[in-house]
Amino acid sequence: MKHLDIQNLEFRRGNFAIKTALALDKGQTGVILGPSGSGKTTLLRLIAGLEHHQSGTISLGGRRIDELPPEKRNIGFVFQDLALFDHLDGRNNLRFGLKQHHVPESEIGGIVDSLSDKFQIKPLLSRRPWAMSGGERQRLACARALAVNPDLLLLDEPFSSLDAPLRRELRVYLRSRLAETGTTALHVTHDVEEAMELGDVLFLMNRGSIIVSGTPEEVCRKPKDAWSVHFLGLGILIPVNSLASGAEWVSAECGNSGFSVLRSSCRINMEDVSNSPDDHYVSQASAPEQNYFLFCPLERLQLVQAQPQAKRSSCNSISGTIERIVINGSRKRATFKPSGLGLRNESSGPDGSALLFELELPQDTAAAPGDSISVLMPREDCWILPSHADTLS
Amino acid sequence: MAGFRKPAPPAREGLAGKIVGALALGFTLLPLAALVVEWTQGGGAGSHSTDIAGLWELFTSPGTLRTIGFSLSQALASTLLALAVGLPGAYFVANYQFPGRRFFLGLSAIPFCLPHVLVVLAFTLYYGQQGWFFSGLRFLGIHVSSSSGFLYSFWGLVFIHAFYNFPIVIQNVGSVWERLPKSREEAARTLGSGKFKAFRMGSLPYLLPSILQSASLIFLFCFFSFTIVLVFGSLEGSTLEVDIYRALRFTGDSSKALVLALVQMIIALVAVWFFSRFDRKTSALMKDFGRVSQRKHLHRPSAIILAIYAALILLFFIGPLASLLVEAFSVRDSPGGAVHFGFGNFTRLLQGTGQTGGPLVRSILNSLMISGSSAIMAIMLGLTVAGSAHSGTNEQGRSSKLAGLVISLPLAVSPALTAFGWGTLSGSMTIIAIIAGQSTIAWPFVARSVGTALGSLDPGKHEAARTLGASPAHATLSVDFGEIMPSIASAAAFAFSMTIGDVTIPLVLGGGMHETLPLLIYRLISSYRFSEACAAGIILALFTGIAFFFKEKSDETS
Repeated sequence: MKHLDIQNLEFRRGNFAIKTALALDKGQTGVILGPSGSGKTTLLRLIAGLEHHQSGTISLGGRRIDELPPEKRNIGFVFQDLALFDHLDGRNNLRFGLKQHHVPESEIGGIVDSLSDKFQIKPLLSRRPWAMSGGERQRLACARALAVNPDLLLLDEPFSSLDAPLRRELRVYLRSRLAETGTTALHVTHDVEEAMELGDVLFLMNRGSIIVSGTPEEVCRKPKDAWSVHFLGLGILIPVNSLASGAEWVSAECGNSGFSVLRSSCRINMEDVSNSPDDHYVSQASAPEQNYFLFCPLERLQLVQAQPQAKRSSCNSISGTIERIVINGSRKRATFKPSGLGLRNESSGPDGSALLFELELPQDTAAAPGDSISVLMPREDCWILPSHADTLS
Repeated sequence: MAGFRKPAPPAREGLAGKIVGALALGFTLLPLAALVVEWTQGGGAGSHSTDIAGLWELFTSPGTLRTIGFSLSQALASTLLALAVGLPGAYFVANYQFPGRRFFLGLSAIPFCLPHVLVVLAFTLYYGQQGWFFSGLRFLGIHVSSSSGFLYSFWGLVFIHAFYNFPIVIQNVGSVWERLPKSREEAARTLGSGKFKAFRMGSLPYLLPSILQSASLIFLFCFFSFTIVLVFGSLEGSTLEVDIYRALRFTGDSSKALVLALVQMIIALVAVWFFSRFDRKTSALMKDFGRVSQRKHLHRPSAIILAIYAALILLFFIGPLASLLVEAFSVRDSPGGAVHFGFGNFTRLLQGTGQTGGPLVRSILNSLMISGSSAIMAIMLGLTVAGSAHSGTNEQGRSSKLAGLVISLPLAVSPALTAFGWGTLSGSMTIIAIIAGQSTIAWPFVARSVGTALGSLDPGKHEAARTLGASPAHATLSVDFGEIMPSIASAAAFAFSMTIGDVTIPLVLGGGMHETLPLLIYRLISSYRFSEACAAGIILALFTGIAFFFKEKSDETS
């Protein structure tokens, strides 16, 4: 039995709708990752009882909680703006929830002391929230939410207003506190790095639905759609015009270039192919989001600075130019713009984004902006993906 | 959260600022000084004494204490009732989207553009023995025996004050409430609180500054209430302001006027201090909260409560205003005769009954001339003081204590005393005294409005103009002045609206030779010519309404 079990949850407000399911084991930290407006915060608010869903069930620790008011659900919530009570000092912010849960006065002192030790906020107890730094406020908000020993902790982008070093520091800190207390937590973010670092389970959310879930490794190694690849920045994506299926290989035509992909690596509706004359799929898509894409993971790409003398039979390849190089610590990243594909539209990425890719360059590379390069993609490592997982029947 | 922050250290201004401050303070206190001089000279026919012991005796006399008690209790009760009526409105306006929401917000214009003299008229017509309200009750078979005395009772006065001022609560508290993030209240819910406790922890502390700001402002308005008390409050008691007027105008008792004016000033200064303190906190919270939160759609129980609330507002508050409008166009063939729609009341006011012509055109011209002059003078004074106070602000934008006192003090000075003082100083030149008196009352509002605009000026824009080649003077004129221009226009419109509706100063000065529109209305009410008073009232409301419209437009621009 899952500790948090959400089934067939539906919520509608105006044009916005959430329709999803989600499950999390006890003690796990789940991270909901998605772009702004995808419904991440609303989903947390539905779980906390701050919004009312139209149908579906939410169970926590084996009991239905979706009919309970927020104060009866025993769920801790760390809000994006932290929502600390400015008229109370740190100690009374911590005491507040304990008093609401009728914890005896004799025990409250001990709990506050223990929490303030764990979260290193002892010197802050007599200070008001406005007299604390961003990190201190963050720790107080987390401690306050954990004080009542909740069955589930919800965190709504609590680090979004902090600078990068403090964000990194607090991520490590939160991870260890959650492990220490064995708290089940659901964390919302649009920061991929934060999601990878905090999540035992990753839920990729878009347009009100969780489209992919799994461990960070599963989500990154076996992406289900082009949108996930694009959002997580996992590799190269090229829109497909037509597919022709053979026994073992599928030929993909992208613009005026041809590529080969293992049939087993095609996450596509094969009916689209086999129902077409001569087992041939031709894209009728009027928008990129209805299309299929060729994908190759970043770590499998090989960069060749000049035009390859002879096309290697084991590799698909594309040519293009380096638009920009960014050096970030020990990493060197290049923005690569493919050329010669003969695509009808420059904005052919999933959701109509421009066809530009971030590639990792070797440290000793002499490549410079404006250089022409070729990118080799081993055929066995290429995939055909639908633009959105929900387009799979 | 700036609203909860400790105040920044006060600033100090330079010599020029001190001189301007001292001059403005002098201008405000000159009328009081004139009264003190009159008192020391034993002036005034009914003067009691010319020594401090005599003043103390006057202060502790039962009559004075009763007046102080009445002034305080009616202002306090009116404030509490205004809050009780206004807070549900603020809640609905801030949290829900519903048809008529803009109408509720529009009510906030009424206390500022409906002069007291019109309120007197409207409530007399509506709640009088033959008025719509009690006629309606009788029609429904409900007979209230003491209906004629209600308006003249303590609670009648409180009722009128509350219904006149509650839109201030809707406007001021609603503005903060609609921006208040719900997350603290929600945090309290997730920590185990019920709805009420969550509201008390997560929202009330943040609404309290605006509630207290509105309360202190309404308290001040009611504490200084003059026309309403003069007409309705005579049976159960009188306010300090009315007694000052009577002491100066009828009994010539400068000792009593001085004692009452000093007591009134001290109490009002406390209220002004509260107002300034909570006004600052409210502004800081509004700035922190930023944009307005999304409003909910009404669900059934809320819709029913809102409908009941709106019906009560229409019945008790809009009713009197509607009766004013209807009465203005109600023409009677003969006293007690049939009533029909027409412009007869306006025609009578225009043509008059004698050979001297009607009083309307003359009073309109007088009003425009006097209020126009008063507004111009108030703007000049207000701009000078605001500019000087701004030059002495610290890094946190806080002005000095002297600047704060200079701007706040006039709000605590009796208008009746101001009128008397300027009357004494200007000798037989009544018109000068009226203009000086009215500008004394209006300029602090100009200074506050312009001061706020100056405080929110972005120095980056001035610096941008400098880097683009503008001289300091040119940058000030073309950038800074352009930024605060809408606020100046708004303040000018407000000053005009305030002064054109003022009845206290011309009444104290006996400005019969320079009869303004409010004075004309007051005279018509005194001679029971209500229909004509309503017609003149409509003209006055038109002027104040236009001025207020310009003020609102300028506020939107700024």
